[in-house]
Order: sequence, then C-alpha cells, then structure tokens
Amino acid sequence: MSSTLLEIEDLEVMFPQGREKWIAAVRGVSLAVGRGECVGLVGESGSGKSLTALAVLRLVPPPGRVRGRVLLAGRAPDAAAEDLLALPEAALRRVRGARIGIVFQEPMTALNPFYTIGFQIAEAVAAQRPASRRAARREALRLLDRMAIPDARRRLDDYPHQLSGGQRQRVLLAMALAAGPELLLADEATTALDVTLQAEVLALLDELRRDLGLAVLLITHDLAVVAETCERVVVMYAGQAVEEAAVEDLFRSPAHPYTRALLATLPRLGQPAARGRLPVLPGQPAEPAARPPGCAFHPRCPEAMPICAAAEPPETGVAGAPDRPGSRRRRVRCWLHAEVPH
Amino acid sequence: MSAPSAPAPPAPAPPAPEVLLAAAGLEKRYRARRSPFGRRRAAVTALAGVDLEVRRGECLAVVGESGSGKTTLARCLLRLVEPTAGRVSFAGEDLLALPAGELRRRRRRFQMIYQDPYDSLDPRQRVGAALAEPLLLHGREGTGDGGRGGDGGAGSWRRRRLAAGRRTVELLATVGLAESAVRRYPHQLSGGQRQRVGIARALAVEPELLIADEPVSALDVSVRSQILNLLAELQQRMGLTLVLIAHDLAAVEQLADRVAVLYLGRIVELAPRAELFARPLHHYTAGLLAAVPAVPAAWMQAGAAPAGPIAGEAAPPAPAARRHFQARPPLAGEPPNPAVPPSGCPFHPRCPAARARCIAERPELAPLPVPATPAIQGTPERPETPETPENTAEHLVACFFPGQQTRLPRSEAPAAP
Repeated sequence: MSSTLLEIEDLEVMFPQGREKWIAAVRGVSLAVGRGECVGLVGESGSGKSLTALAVLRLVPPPGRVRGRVLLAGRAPDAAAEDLLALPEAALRRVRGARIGIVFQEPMTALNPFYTIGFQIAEAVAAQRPASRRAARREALRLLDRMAIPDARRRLDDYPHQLSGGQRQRVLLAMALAAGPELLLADEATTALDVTLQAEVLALLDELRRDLGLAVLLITHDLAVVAETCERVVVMYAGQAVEEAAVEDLFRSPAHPYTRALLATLPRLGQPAARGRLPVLPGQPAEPAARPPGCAFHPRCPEAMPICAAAEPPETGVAGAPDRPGSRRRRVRCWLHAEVPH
Repeated sequence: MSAPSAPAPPAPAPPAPEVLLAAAGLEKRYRARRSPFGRRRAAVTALAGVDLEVRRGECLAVVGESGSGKTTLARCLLRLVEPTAGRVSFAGEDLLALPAGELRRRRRRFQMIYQDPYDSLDPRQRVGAALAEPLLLHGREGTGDGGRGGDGGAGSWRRRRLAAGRRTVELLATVGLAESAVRRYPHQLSGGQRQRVGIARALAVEPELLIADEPVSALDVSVRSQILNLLAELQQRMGLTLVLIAHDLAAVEQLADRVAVLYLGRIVELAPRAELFARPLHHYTAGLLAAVPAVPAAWMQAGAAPAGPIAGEAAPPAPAARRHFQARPPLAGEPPNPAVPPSGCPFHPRCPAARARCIAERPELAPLPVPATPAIQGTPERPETPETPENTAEHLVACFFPGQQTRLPRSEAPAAP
C-alpha cells in the first residue's frame, strides 16, 4: 500500500441529550486512507458513517461535538501531517475543497437552483485560486467534459433543474474535484441514482482514481458497490468500526457476525432465494440513544455469548491472507476473536 | 366478471389464466405548454402505446430507468391520471368509462404502495388514524359487536370507530408491527417501519390488486429483504395480484413471475422471470442486468461458509479476479429526451448492436420465432434455464436483432444520426 493520506484516530461525535447527557453517535472510530486508495465505509442508516465523513471536514452540525484526531498528510511526501480538528478555521478553509472534496447524496439540494451550473463550478474553481472569470469558466468546461457530460459547452448555461439526476451528480463531482483535491469523500453519492447511472458514476470514480491518483472514501450501505470499487472496507455498526479488511478478505471470510449477516442478506442476481425466503437480518439497528450494553450487536447476533452482553469487545487483529495487498491491516471488534477475561 | 370477494389462489400456471387488469394501446402525452417566457415547449409522450395483461394472482414486475414511464404507467392503470388514449379494464370492466362515483367505489379493489411513505403519510396523523381512515371511508372496518358499518342510528359512528381501531391493530400485526405503533407519528418510525405502514394502509380495504411503485428503493439494503419477504407472504396469504415497479432488476427477481421492461414509454421485452434473467434478448435488458453491482461469484462462494474464529487464514490466493464492473460493457449514455424520441427503435442511439434498419423502423413487441435465439453474451454469470416451448412463446421482445452479438464490424455499424 502507498503512504497514508488520511488517518482518523479515535474519532468521537457526540450530541447533547437534555442538559447533562451526551450521546455518542460515533464512538472511537479509527481508519486510514492511503494515497490513491479507495476505502469503503459500510453500515446501515444511523451507524454513524456519514457523521464520520462530516467530522473529517469539521462539518458536523452544532450542537454536535467532535473529539479525536484527523491527520492529513502534507502535500509533500515528507511534510508533517496536520490534525484537521485542531486547525484554525482559516487554515481549514484551505483544506476543504482544495485537498479534500465531498459529494453528498442529494444532488438537487446541494446545488443552488438559481445559478447556472457553469457559474457554480466556476465558483468552486475560483474559490481556491485566483482566476479570471474566463479562465474559471474554461476550467469548468474542462471539468464537465472530464465528467463525460454530453454537450458540455451548452450545459454550462443550464440550471440544475434542466439536468437529469445522473448529470447533476456529475456536476457535483466536478465541483468537488474543481480544486484538484487528493481525497474525495463520497457520501452515498450513487444511492439516489438508477442502477445504470450508478454504474456510470462508479466507473468515472474508478477512472479518476487511476488517472489522477485520487483517494476515495466511499460511504454506502450497499456491499455490492463496495465489492466493485474498493480495495479496503470498514464496516460500521452503532457508531463503531466493527471490522476492517481488504475487500476480498471481507467477502471470502467475514470475521464479524454482523458482516456475515450483511453478506447473507446480499441479493445475488440470477440465483434468487425461494419466494419470500430472502435471508434477513432480524431486529432493528441499535440507536445511539438506546445502545445495548456490551457489544451493541449482541441482541441481533446469532453467536452471542454471555460475555457479549456484559462487556464491550476489544479490537483485535485477525490474520489476513499475507499475499494479498492490504491484508495485513485486518481488525475485528468481537468476542469471538478476542481473549475472554476470566 | 368474477366475484370480488373470491380471490383465486396464486396458481403457478393454469391453462387459461384469468386476466385481472388489462391495458391496450395505453398512451399518455403531457401537453405542450408555453413556458413562462413564451417559448414553446414540446409535448412529452410518457407512454407510447402499452399493451399489458396482469393475471390474477401473479406478480408482474415493470422495470426501467427514470423517465421510462413506469410511474405514469402505474398511475394510468389505476386511473390516477387520465390516459390520452387506450383502454384499461379491471376484471372485465372498462375503468376509463366509469363515472367518478363508481370509480371511487371501485378503488377499494386496487391500491397503491409508494416509494417513500414519508411523503405519502400525513406527518400530523398518527399511524392509527392513518389506517382507520380508509377503513371508515370504504366501510371496511369489519363487524365490531354491531353489524356492518353504515346501519345508521345513534352510537353507530362510535361503534364503527371502535371496530376500525380493532381492525387497525390486526392490520399492524399483519405487516409485522407492534400494537404500540398506533400512537406513533410517521417521523417516529424507521424507513422500513414506515413502508410497513404504507403496506398496511393499502391492505386495509382488502384489495385484489396492489401496485407497488419502487417499494424498496428508499430502504437500506438490509431492510429491503424484510419488505420483499413481507410482500411475498401477503401475496400468497391473501391471493393478491401484485404489480411491482422498480428501476433495478435485482429488486424484482425475488417476487416477479413475469417481468416487463419499459423503455421510453414502450415495453421492449416481456418474459417469465427465470427466462428473462437467463436469456435477456433485448440489448437494453442486457444492459440493465449488467449495471447491477455484484460481488464476484468466487468471493461469495467462500463467504457462504463463514470462517471460524481465525478467519482468513485458509483463504486461497485470488485467481486474478477481475472486477465484474471493469470487465462488463456499460450501457452507454442516458435515456433520450422523451420530447424528442429517436427515430425507429427508441433504443438505437445507445444500442451496441444497432444497424441501419433500427434507425428507420420501429420493431414491434412480438414472440420470437422458434428456434429460440441465443442470449446476449457478456451479461453476469447465471445458471441456464431449461428451454421449453412455453418459455419462448411467453417471451416477447421488440427488437430486430434480438440476442445477437454486440460487437459489430465498423462497416456495419450505423452512422451517427
């Protein structure tokens, strides 16, 4: 693996409940993204995956609080990493967009309906470096072309409502990439799209990664998307990273019962289960405010043991296949893989 | 016309299946209106002549991209919008000829489930009230201790309300929700729970036909299976006829008996489920199948038997597994603007196998001549289905060159239109 670009250490995101109490929506997540690497962050709604991405850019809405460290390596290979959570606001603005771009799920709400998309992309271009209007527009055109939008020159003067959902999503990608960031945070960036458009956007992301060396943190609830695009996967449950593995390891030999359950519910095209017999994951995801004691997954876990309800499992390393890239970084948070104390 | 209260069991394939809902030559054009700035706009043809039969007890899936007209089709079938041309009959009765009052009474027999019930449920109405409303409206609260509702007299309304309350709890149990949900507001429920309420509301009036418009697209992958299982179970138990609308073939594979593929307001392929998945004949269908994200089969075979505590050790080295998505041919481009449909076959600008004829003429939906045509290569790996005569007779496709190889020599490729 190439050198680390982003390292999240022990990240916590908390929201107040009532006067005194704080509820942790993200509890001690650590993960790393290498330069040019695509890492999948997978979990159900409410697992804290979106908050993790927002916390990286300090975009968690108030009154939420963020703790931990978010280390971004310097542009030069030997420059020291800086902690984004400790950076002054002005310095942070030079990171947002310029070094880390972000794309959200809803392309309609993220674009301003009153401005042409050419204006909005040019604005993103000019925000990071001084550019004449002409130059910024030229750059906007180049970006749209890069995103494979047909007839890009005419599209520059269109308003968001004149574009299809897939085109809007690509406009957002163009804006996120306007300042040439090294890392893209894609938060359910393809979830609202048709499968055909999703396939196209994923192919585009893959191409950008290969051509520009763009690193991607792909946040999704769909493991099949992860299988197609990512090199490494982090599975989140109830605000914690419960398993991390190289993508192939995760699918071939899932270590955490939650991962196994997710894989079992994955539909397989051409091999439908008997009618009405799709494997399901019983129960509801744990809510941060009503987190079960011990391992948060234990009420739904088919392999739960007495210790699971009593104590939180520690994070342990698991042997990965040594000959596969990325395999050495394999972690799981489950009592099945940890030394049970007596 | 059949008796409305005698739902047929979901027979697999009776000799002459009863047609519950039929559409013929169904068209819907949205009229050209001048834009606020006086510019003329083109009329949009959302449905360009759809013939479709839904058999009693079956599940028919309608699949297509955004803008293919699938939601318009659903609305026209239930006369929620008036079609521009064509006929719709429900249980032998012409729906489009019914006067408004009659139609309203008929609506009890066909109901709709929406993509996100958060949009279709009143945010200020508790679940209990949302479910009781259709019951009382259609007089379907059932017998409490008095007779059927509507017998007049003092206290009858209260009796009806009580009966509706009891029925509401039954309905919630039917869709797998606890009684306590009665007092909840929609925002207090999860997406899956809201969809269950949406289903309960549609079931409240004991319909024969349910049209579900993207019922699982807004849900987490892990919740999708629960809702699909629920629909399958309800369909079987109540003898429901189901029309399932989706943009994703993977979402319908589980339930569908037959699948209709819609493109630009026309059905381009219609076939029994297994047949369509094993042997897609229209190049658009093949493209839709290829677009479904998939885990490489080799990875999942190992994953099926979960490894023990020391997972990962025994995994063999990867046999240079190319990702599915890098290897497959993507479906190029986007659906064309329905205001300016392409000439000939509407799919030709995106079709990898298009030839001169496809630009000039439009192919009609028709059964394939026997012997059957081979399937399109390069679609995801899937088991073969045995080829039987009825398979091919039921397999309709609107394509001049169905199932043919997609790579053409340059000389034969069509010129740009």
